[in-house]
Amino acid sequence: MPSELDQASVEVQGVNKSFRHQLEDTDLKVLDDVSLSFQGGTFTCVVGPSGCGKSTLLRVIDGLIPPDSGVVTIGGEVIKKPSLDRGFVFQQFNLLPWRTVIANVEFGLENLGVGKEERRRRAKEILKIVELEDFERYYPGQLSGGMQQRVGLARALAVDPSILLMDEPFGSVDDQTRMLLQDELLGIWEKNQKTVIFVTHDIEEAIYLADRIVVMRARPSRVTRIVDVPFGRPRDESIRGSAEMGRLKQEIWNELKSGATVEG
Amino acid sequence: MTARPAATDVSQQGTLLPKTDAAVPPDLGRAERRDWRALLNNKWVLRALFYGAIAVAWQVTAMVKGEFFLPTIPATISGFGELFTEGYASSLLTSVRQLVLGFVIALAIAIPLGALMGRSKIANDIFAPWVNTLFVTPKQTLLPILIIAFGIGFWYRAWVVILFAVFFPCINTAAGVHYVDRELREAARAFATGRWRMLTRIYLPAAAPFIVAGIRLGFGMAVKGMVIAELWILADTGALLETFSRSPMRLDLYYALVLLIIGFAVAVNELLKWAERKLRPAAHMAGQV
Repeated sequence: MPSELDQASVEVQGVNKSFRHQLEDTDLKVLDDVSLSFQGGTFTCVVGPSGCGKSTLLRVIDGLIPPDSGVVTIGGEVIKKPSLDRGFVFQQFNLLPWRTVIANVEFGLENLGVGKEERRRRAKEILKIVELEDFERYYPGQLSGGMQQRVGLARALAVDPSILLMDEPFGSVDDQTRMLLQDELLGIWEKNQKTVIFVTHDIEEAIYLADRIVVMRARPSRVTRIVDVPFGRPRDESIRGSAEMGRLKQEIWNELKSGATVEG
Repeated sequence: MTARPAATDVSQQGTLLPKTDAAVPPDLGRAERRDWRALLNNKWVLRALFYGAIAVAWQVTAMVKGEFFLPTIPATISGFGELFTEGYASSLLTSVRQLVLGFVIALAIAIPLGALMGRSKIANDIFAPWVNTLFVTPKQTLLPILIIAFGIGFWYRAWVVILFAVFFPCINTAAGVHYVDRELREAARAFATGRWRMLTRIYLPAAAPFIVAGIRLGFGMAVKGMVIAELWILADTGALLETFSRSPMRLDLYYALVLLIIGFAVAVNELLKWAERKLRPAAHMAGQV
């Protein structure tokens, strides 16, 4: 019997993906022979310049985009399409604007066929965790960006996935809100360690959150380095200003710079 | 003139101007001009003025030219009473029944067909030329075909209504469904949404404002279709319109009937507009879509 953590481990093996460039009529290689493994229960950040394929990688792992070649396996099973065993948090939130906050959180549970009362109960529970219990009747358009993303996180957590995929989730909110959301996410994760794959272009965010950082470069898109983060858990604000943080930031930035292009 | 006392009323209430010492009117001329401007900014005042003028013109014309040319407003109003007491209104009711049935069938065709065209390129390739051609065809020219096919009974009239009403909701649904935000679709897919729920929980709600707008436009066409169908075969409301308009003594009834038809169409249109607003909560408009 594989353990629960093995069930939540992700293997990416030799994944290639190209997109057709509409105007130039050429193929753009977005993922070039990417192989990675994510251990169950760990928090991994993927950093890289825009256009390096990190968002595409996340979508391939979720099953939203099929790879041209290579496979993604989770707990040994090959991924062919999205499943509610994985929760996805989007950069632009992508909430359903005609649904209230609580109805948005219930969306995945509806797809799971969970009964109405149980859905409501679980949604309320999750909204409390993200501190939005007073806003369940609001519509997304009535909330700030940070609040909308908390709804996005609640929607993903409501189905209790073993893997959380996050695509620059705090990239569309202001700096202060971003730091608060990072702490909130860490608080939630430390209580219930899911496998998290978190895509970002913010180096400090990656160091603050992750156990391990995957550095990618663009053109050709590939993984150039994997950095282990030495900070223990639980983490707090003090590490943001530490010398070790500064050293790691510089190290990752040097790595990115060597692969960066101005147009990147 | 009624407007002038109204203007002073407003300033006396002090809603627009601070109360001034009556003994020392500082600049009465300017204050009065501001009252006027405030009144002209009120759409109800504007409408009362505009439509009041039309009513006056109507009444004067009717009195000058006589009832064979235009019935007076009181005569038209009493015409309403007569429509009901003489049982003419039941003809209108028969027409409305056919209208409603035809319209419901039209929507039952238009919305699924539109949704299919919006979702599937194959369906769109097949149906778009047909829909677009019929959409711009003057439907009146096709009425003889329907008479040949269905006679002049109930189904002829229902089908004319369908033919008139089906295109707006169909085209609007297709456009609404086609342009559903790519990112919303992706989010729904990431949550393992099945095909049916994708349609009922994502595509249709996202396109709802388009669909209801299409329904509203379609309803206007349906009323048009109903009247034209009946004028062609001189049945029910169409027969009444023809009879009243050709017998000069009954122009009051003709005008009353026309206004009744317009009133009915406007009332339903307002109802649909209300539904449209309900389906588009303030949050929806302020949000990402």
